[in-house]
Amino acid sequence: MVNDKQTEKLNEESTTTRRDFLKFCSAVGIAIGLGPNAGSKVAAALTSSNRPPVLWLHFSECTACTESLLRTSNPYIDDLLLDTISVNYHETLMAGAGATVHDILIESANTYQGQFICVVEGAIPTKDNGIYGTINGRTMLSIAEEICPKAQCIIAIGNCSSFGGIAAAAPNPTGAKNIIAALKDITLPQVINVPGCPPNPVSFVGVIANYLLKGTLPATDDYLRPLFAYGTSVHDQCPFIESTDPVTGRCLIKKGCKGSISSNNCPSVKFNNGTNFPMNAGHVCIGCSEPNFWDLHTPFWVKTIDETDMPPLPEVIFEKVVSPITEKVIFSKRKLALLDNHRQVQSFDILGRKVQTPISNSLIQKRKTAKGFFIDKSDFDINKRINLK
Amino acid sequence: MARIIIDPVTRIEGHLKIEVEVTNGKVTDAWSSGTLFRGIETILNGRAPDDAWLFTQRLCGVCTYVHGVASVRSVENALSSKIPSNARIVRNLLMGGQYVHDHPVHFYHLHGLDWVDIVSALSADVNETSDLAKSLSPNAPAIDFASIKTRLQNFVSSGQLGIFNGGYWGHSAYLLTPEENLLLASHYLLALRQQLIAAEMHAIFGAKNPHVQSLKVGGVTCKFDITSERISKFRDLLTQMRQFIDTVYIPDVKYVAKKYSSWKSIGGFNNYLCYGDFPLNDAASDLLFPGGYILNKGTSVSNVDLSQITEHVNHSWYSGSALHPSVGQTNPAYDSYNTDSRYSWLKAPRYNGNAMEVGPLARILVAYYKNSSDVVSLVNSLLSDTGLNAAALHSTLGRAAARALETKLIADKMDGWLNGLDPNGEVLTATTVPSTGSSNGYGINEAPRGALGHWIDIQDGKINNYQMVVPSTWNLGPRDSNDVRGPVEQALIGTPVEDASKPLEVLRIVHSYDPCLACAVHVIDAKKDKSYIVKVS
Repeated sequence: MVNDKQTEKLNEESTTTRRDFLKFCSAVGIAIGLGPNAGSKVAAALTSSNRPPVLWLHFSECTACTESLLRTSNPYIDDLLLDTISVNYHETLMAGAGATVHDILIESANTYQGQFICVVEGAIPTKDNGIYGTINGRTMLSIAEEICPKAQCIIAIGNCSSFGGIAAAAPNPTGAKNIIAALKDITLPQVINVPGCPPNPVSFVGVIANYLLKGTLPATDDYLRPLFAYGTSVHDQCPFIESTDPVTGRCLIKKGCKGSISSNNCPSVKFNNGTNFPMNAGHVCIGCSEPNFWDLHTPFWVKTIDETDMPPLPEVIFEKVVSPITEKVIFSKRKLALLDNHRQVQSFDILGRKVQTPISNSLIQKRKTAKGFFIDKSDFDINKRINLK
Repeated sequence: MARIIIDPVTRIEGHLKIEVEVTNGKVTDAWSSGTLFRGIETILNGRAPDDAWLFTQRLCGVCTYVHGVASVRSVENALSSKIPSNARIVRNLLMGGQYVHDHPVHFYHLHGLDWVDIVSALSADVNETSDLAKSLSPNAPAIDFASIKTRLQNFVSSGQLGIFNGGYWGHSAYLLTPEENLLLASHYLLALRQQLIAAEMHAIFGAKNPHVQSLKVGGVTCKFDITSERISKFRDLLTQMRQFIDTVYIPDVKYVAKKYSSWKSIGGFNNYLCYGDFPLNDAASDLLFPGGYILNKGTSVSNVDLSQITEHVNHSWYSGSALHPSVGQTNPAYDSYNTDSRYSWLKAPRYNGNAMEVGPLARILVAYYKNSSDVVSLVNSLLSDTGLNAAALHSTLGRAAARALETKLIADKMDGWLNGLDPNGEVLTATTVPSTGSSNGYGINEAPRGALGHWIDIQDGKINNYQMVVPSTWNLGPRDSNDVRGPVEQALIGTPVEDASKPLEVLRIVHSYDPCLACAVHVIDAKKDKSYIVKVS
């Protein structure tokens, strides 16, 4: 039963989450190089009335990447869908069905040619002309060939579209490939990879925020992973060390943990509202942001790190030579309009009420957890960590 | 007579194509086709058995966790490994968390737009909506409907309809008033936020959601998460979910059931199968959901014997004949989509030759007719509140209602389960897969979408064969060797379709099964000299 106390609690939560949102915006501002006072601009960009079109393609996948995005709390998914981006095609969420939505996909790609963000979730089956995956009677391969080249940029979400993922694990029964390799003979717009199985929603939202704010995609490593999220190893952020201390001495590296050769932000950002991450739950890192991890890193609990864990070079993974993204490449003309926009930020709380909050200067709020011994880091610390390059 | 093809079916997990034949405004035939094949079982061959759960969990990111626990159970069964009490309880809490997350998301975000016209909500009187909300559920959170309406209006006025583009808005099969539509549209948004709470609950003992990472053969790894603080945090989040279930989800489902009462006789099926799950003691002698099966809408429940399962491939893109999973064969053989011949990557599982529905309705009916007291009182209360009788449960509405009832049942039970966790207790029984010799085992459970089974055959420390029979294969599989339709194909027959260009009614039935296709399409690859016979009571 919900009583007044419960309603009060909801109100209190919405205030808190609002504050979290603004803290997040400041963190993103720092992460993408706008400095510590850019929170309002980030928030404005994320709640723009001129929403860039997004076409989200589902190929050989499990939908965990979509589910992961649904878990975003900075901003909330309804803010993202209603106020930030215009998701014109997304099979898991959209109301329409069948040929109607396939037509929407084709028409949107033509109407917004060179302007839309194409998000790809899942690998692309290529064996036997791609017959192992079809949508609307067409192979996923042919849909990718038609839609992807028309995008302004492509965000590959998850390990499957970035590197092939589980569908491409040996013996790769369907000839599944990552988006670049599957379309290697076609000229594609810039691709950025947000791997993970699934990735933290912060990593995806950070790429979107960067695009909205600066008109650029963030700088990446050679595997096209944004440095703000994948610029440092999991191990370097992990609070556990090799010692006999019962609290901190929980390092799992000798049991097969792949944190030291995995680039991701799990121990810093954590998952589900900062609740947990695998090593804290006593499980080894499986290296899910790395190319070919299903083959290179297994057996997960046994295999300690050696030279066989090193992934193939990018040109092998992508089947062509690609260059990392530098911050200098401008993709969008939205930049100036948004940076000049200092309007009051609007958002909505859990009960649907419009919230107008002045930007909080307080970046640092200690986050306590049940254990308290390691998550008790300031948010500034987290900002710094996700900004490591 | 017209053929309607819906491809892709949206608001599901995975890739599904539905074709129906409509004659004089009613569906007269139907075909269900899975359109993606990944071959995860083939990928598993030769790998370490204790790694398998991390692979199988990636069958599906929506029903994340369920394939993980089925897999570790199969290895534990093969090695006769017993898990500690803490691990049993954590696993029940993780599975429970999965239900508490999945089912409301299904009702509001996947199924909801089949019942709720978002555009109609724009003409609602907000005061009337507010009055309706209070009368329907006085203790529900007080929503600012005027603000929500404005927000939706601004969204529509922007001209960028996003995910709401292409819906069948204004369709005459939408029966709710603008005020009712606004109420449920508001709850669509509320539930988007609410699901975060269930996911956070999952992460406390699961490391993260989706794709939990705290299981291990022999138990769980989250020893340091079992503290009084984290148990209390879990309870706090659970309480918020229970309040949502009691004051929003259940009242909404009952209300929709009343407003769409004609759907009490549309979209039903006859046969139901449930393996049973949620072991309430370490011997697993007492289950929250008892196992059993029901034939022909009967009221008597029989015990399940898994040796009665066969999988047929006459209408699937595989060569071979109908075989028990343990002797099944893998021969992918795509030719073309042809409803007279082969038309799906799904096989057609049958129990003693019968097509069986699995999932919430199967669980609730089996428990109800086995006189499980909690379920009997929940079902009776539903029937009296909605004016429906027990026969009406065999329907589209029955499926939606069963989903809501079991969500409440589990969420309420979880609170008590938390008390059984011992911060000083063990979470893991050290278990090593022997590097020589052979063994085999099975792991079954009740995923939110229905009865799920994994079978493993271990040789010299490696996977020799891995097989799965999963819920959506039962529910959405094609015709069998005798040309008998699968459950969803049969359930669609007789459905009225007012406008063949907008087959909203067809989607209602398909969505009521909560299709989850990524795991449904798979390969059976077994040695012929093994057979698995599993009895579930």
